[in-house]
Amino acid sequence: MGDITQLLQRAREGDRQAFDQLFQALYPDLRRIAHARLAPHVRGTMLDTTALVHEAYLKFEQSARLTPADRSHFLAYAANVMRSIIVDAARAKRAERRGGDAAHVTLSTDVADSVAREEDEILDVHAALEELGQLDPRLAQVVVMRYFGGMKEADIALALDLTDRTVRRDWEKARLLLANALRS
Amino acid sequence: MKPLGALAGRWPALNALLDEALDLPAGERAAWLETLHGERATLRDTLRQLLAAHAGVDTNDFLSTLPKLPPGGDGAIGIGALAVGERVGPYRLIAELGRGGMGAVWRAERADGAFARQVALKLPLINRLRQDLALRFARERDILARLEHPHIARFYDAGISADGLPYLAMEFVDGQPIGEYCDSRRLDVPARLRQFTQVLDAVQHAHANLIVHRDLKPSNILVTADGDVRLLDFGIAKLLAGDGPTDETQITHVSGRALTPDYASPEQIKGEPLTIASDVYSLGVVLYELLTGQRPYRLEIRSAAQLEQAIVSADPIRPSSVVSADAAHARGASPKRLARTLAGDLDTIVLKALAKAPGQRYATVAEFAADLERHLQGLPVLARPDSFTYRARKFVLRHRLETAIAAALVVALVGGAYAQVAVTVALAAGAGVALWQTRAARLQARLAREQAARAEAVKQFVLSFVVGAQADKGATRKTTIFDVLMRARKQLDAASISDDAIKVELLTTIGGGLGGIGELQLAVPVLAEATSLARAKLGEESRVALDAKIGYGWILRRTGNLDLAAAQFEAAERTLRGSGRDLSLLAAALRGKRSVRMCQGDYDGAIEAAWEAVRAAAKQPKRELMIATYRDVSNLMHEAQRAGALEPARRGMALAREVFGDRSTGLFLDMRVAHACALSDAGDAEVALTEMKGIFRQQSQLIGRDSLELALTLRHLGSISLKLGDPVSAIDSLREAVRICAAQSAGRPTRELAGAHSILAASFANARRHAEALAEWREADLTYSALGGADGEPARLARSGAALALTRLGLLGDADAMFAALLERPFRSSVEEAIVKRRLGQLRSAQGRHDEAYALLRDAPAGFAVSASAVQDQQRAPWLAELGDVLLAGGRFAESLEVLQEARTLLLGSLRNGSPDLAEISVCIGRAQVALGRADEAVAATDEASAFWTRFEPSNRSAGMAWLWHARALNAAGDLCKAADALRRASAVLEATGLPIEQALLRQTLVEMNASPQQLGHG
Repeated sequence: MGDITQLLQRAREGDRQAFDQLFQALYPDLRRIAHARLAPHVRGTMLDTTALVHEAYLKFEQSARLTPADRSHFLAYAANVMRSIIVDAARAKRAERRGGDAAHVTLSTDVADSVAREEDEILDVHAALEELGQLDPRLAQVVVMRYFGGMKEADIALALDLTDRTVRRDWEKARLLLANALRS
Repeated sequence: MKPLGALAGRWPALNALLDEALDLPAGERAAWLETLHGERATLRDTLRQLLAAHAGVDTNDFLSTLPKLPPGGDGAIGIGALAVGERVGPYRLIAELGRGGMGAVWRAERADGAFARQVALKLPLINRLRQDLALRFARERDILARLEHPHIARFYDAGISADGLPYLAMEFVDGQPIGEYCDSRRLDVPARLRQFTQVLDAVQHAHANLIVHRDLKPSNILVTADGDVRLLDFGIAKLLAGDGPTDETQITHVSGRALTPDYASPEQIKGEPLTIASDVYSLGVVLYELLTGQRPYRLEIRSAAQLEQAIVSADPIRPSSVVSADAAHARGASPKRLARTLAGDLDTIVLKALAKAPGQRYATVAEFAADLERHLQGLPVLARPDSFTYRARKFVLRHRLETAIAAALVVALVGGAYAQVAVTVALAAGAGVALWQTRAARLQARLAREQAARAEAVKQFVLSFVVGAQADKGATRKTTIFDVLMRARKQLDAASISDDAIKVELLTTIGGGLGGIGELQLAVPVLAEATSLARAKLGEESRVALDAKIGYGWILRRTGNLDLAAAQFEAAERTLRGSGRDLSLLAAALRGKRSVRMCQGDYDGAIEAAWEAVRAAAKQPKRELMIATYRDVSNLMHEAQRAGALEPARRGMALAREVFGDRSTGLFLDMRVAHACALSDAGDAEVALTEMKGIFRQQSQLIGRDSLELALTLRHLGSISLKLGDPVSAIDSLREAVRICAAQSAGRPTRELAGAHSILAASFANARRHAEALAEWREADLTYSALGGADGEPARLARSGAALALTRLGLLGDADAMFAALLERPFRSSVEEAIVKRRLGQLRSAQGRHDEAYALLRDAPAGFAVSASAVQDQQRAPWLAELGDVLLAGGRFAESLEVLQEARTLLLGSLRNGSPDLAEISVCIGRAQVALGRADEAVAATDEASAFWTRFEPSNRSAGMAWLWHARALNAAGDLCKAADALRRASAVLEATGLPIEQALLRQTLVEMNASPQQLGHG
């Protein structure tokens, strides 16, 4: 675990390879957490998985001397990773539904399925989030951290350098916009 | 689904309105909507729609939880859960090759068996579901697929899988990144260059097809086992990013830091469009690394931001200068040999590729390759180096590099081909902000004439290097410059500078810089090295060597190594007198000699050297040096209490006004201080005090409250206050001065500290606080002795002061012993003799040896003949007082009265509110008057004294004595009531603090007065 410290240090300095390696080291944990968030048998909601994220974080903290900023960045980063994992999972689910072996290279991204499923919500939110991101990146980030990352308000505030109140308001606004976009 | 994009244009206004609306309680929102008017009204409908959703959003848990996915298979197929055998597009996954922050790469094959060849399937981790991605993929992949070259990995295909996973299929290359390949085989430089030429070939081909790589780096350049180079990822960056500048995925943006920009070109960092030249730059970095094992700009730069800054504005260190043992080993050579191989053409070629301005790099990769080829064949290369050595030397010699920053910069630029941009930011120790600004402004102007944009960029680099370059802020500034200096020192060691003169000059500057911030112990070895290197390689006579020697001398002097210091200065002086050329250096050497002699307590010798320095400086053009020598000699004359301070002080002032105008530079302030002291010596104490206070205020602002210059000014303030009869102010000023000196020297003995203690002691003595005076005299003695030996003039004077304090405290035996020790050695100067004898006389008087006392005191004035007339006047009054006292004790009342009255007259002329000295004289006069039967005059005189003490310090023993004599005078005059009062007050003080002899007098007086019939009459 000693190399994690070095990796972090180098990643902090902008060393890309170190960053990549860090990602590699983190990835399994984050994947496990993301899947746990999706698994139906996991009781409770964000709380448990938040704990899991922190558990992953603590593993590093023991060997590395991370600043509070590192922790927030870690969590924010983790949220984005989990978004990709979760979206992938949703896509896979949808693909399964549509029946396996798709033909090669569908360059179109039309989704022709009228039955709304859980994975659809995820993918719709994901798509709408893309658009929200074009409009106001910070609002989108708040959503990613809450919805996909399960981060608490205080942690989001730290990572984005905002007050708790602002985060709450951002969340409110974001949901308004997303609700509007998704429910017409 | 209503697109959010439609809101884009009005978003800021909408956002603000939303905030307003959400601040209101829900019930009031409808009404508020109606109140909108003007521009804002146009958003009313949108707002209404959004807010309508709010109710629903609020009460249900929209987006509050992540929906659960019913189980199936592994639960997810994201790139994280891809497995062998799975299908991605038309490909089947065989083995994972790697995974990183950017995504994953798999080995795969066509599932339909259309080709036999295996591919590398790159699955980028993109979180964008952009509508146009597919279209772009289609367009780009056709272009990329056309790129065919033996050294370029083929691009086959790009697409999006059924699951929405984008993928890129490329030729699978089994190879190592080029750096590893070369290192693992310990390829030498020519072999590496041959590998590199393949790379250049490939890139040139792509350029010919209008494809810019944009992301060249060693990990994208693989080499197969056969030694074939294969470039990966051509144009992929553009494909994934779109038309803007390189746009990393969301993941990298989250943490708020760019990934390492080591290979990024300046224009890339600045966000400007990328061209062929950008690839040339990146190739330059790759080549740099291949040759040296390091990347450019890696001078202890910590963050990506600093690296970016360096890429944009700093010059890379020449490859031949960064050779390390490991790197040499990996290149099959010794470090020396590798450096030699790289020096010259290769340096030039690499640096040309790394030029900041794209226009200055190789215009095409082909040219780059051609120059390398020429080098390999031993032909002259086309790239033109700046003749760095010549220019650097010229620059270094032209500008006296006074500071650490200059040294650090030049060292940082050593090896770079752009010496003309070395900037000297003069933060000379003690100089104020004004000086820095002026210097910097001058240099800016000069550089602006040469290369405007460059100057700005370098200035930014300098500022980033030394965070917050400002006027002296004590420890903070020191730390920063210290870091820079130590870095420079290390850098100097690492860089193999072939020009000895430059190396010596740099060492001298770094050493001088370290000395300037007080890091004396660290400076010594640096300067010692400079001196010996100069001696060995450049000869005793070269200017650089002499300069080093003088610098070394100063450090030695300041670390107390006086003999060795003197040796340096004298050697330099001899050489310089012989050649007669360099007068400014001669003046510098003489200044050093003066300083050493002062420390050794040889004031006469120091004065001699100081005047020689003035003469030498007067004949050379540097006016600041002239001012400095004038200041030195004036200060010295003042400190040694000799006449002759005013004339050089005046000259120095005039010159300073000419040179500096109304700018408050450190040197100017110093000169003003010296001038004020000289004025004070010449009798203008009031003017001097006002001037000194003004200087003090300005210095406090400019250089901070903890600097040594301020301590010196405080010392002078103290002296002048003493002269004006205000010992209390003097004590305040001097205590602060002592504090600063002690802090600055970290407790080590310095002349400044010793001097401060001395004058503080004199102040206490003046205020008749003898115990405290004794303590301070002892400190002064210890410090002076540590510096120049116990036999130096100042140490002896301190001991005589201590002996006098002992006398005043009634410890006559101890005082006697101390004087006896002093008298065993001959006096060093007439001034010293005069002072010691006067003090000894007072001891003899207290011992009742009146004739001896008188003899000692009578001849004292002769000793002050060398002093300024005002000094003589000032010394005269106390001397007269002492003489009068001695005469009085010896029973010679009339003579004493005469002498004392003269003393009083003299003092009244210069004092404002009386002084302890004056009070004491008055008391003595009173005593004489009583003895001579003139009671009324006695009363008047003693009244004056006791009134003074009431104002000044009622509890002082001297106050008690004044009251006692006042009582006796009153008694003699028949005013018994007042006499009794006075006696009571005298008792109150003297019971507690009186010396035995004084208490005896008190009791005697009590008896006398009680026995007086008048007293009995009044009951």
